[in-house]
Amino acid sequence: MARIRLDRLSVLLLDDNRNMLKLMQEILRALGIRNVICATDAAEAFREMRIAAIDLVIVDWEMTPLSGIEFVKLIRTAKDSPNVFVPVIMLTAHTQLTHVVEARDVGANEFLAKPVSPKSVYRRILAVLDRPRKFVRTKSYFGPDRRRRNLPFKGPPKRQDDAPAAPSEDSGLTEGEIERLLQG
Amino acid sequence: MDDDRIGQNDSIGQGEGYIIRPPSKDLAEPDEDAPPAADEEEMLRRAEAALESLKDEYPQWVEQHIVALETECGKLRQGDGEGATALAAMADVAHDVKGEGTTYGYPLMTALGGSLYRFVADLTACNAVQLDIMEKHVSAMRAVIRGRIEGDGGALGREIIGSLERAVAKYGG
Repeated sequence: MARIRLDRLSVLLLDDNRNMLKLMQEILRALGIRNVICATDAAEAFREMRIAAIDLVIVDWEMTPLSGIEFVKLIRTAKDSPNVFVPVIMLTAHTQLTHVVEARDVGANEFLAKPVSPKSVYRRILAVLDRPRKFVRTKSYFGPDRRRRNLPFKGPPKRQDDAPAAPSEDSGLTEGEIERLLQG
Repeated sequence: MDDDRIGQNDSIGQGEGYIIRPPSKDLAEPDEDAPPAADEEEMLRRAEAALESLKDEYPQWVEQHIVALETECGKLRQGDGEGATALAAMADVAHDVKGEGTTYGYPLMTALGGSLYRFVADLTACNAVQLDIMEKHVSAMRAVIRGRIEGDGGALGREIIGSLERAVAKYGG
């Protein structure tokens, strides 16, 4: 596997929570990503994407006036989208299966559950860059190829470094389950 | 850019579609002038250390979340007719607390935020018992931050979470 040069990445962070922006910015820079651009709303994000080539967008789900889901839809389908192919990681504390599926179905490449850790951020970025997907255009969808297993893996964890399962009180998926759902 | 029509063996769903190979930036090319690639574990250690330096700031800026929750509880206690708005605002803040706490070394805050969010997310009105449960969540958050209780808070922390979760299960909307 070729070494991924994170220092060559330009990453756009989109979140209306400035504390989370700061946190994610610190993590990304510590991972070696030198060019981290921050935006607090979709309009600002689009402006930034028109100024410079962005290699990856990390967008928070819960934003107003435009949510992360709506932003991804615009990225993938708007006629004036700056880059319909830009890889997108959806960041959210919602970890229910329905949310993961919804993010996938609007064209997000990956899903990153909060609370984050440097390891979880790194793994998601690698998932996007190490396994770039072809894009698919159908009558009802444009975005990364979604052909994966449709159900979360029910068996025992198969990776020794799987993150410990999050408390199941909200029926949310664990990081390992999300990863297996999206990557097959 | 390659643009392949999907073959007969491709099961992409109903209708015809195209598989498109988007242009990609080659991030694996060697760059002689670039610094040597960091060992992955060392890189993650560095990132964790960067996070440590932010942890001291967490109690200060989570204070704004707690104040917001207390404000919304106050509105509900006054019964000014804007219950649905206050509950929605509370759900938003609780969601944020849930998503942030553990990252900063305060998993109790994530648990409390998650429990409160689950309790209020589907409520458009509340009774006195439900409001009391919300206020207990917020009081617990305040106690965690005031006491700088990192980790799961030990037996007491687990008992508090368990008690609130039982209340949520019993009186939830």
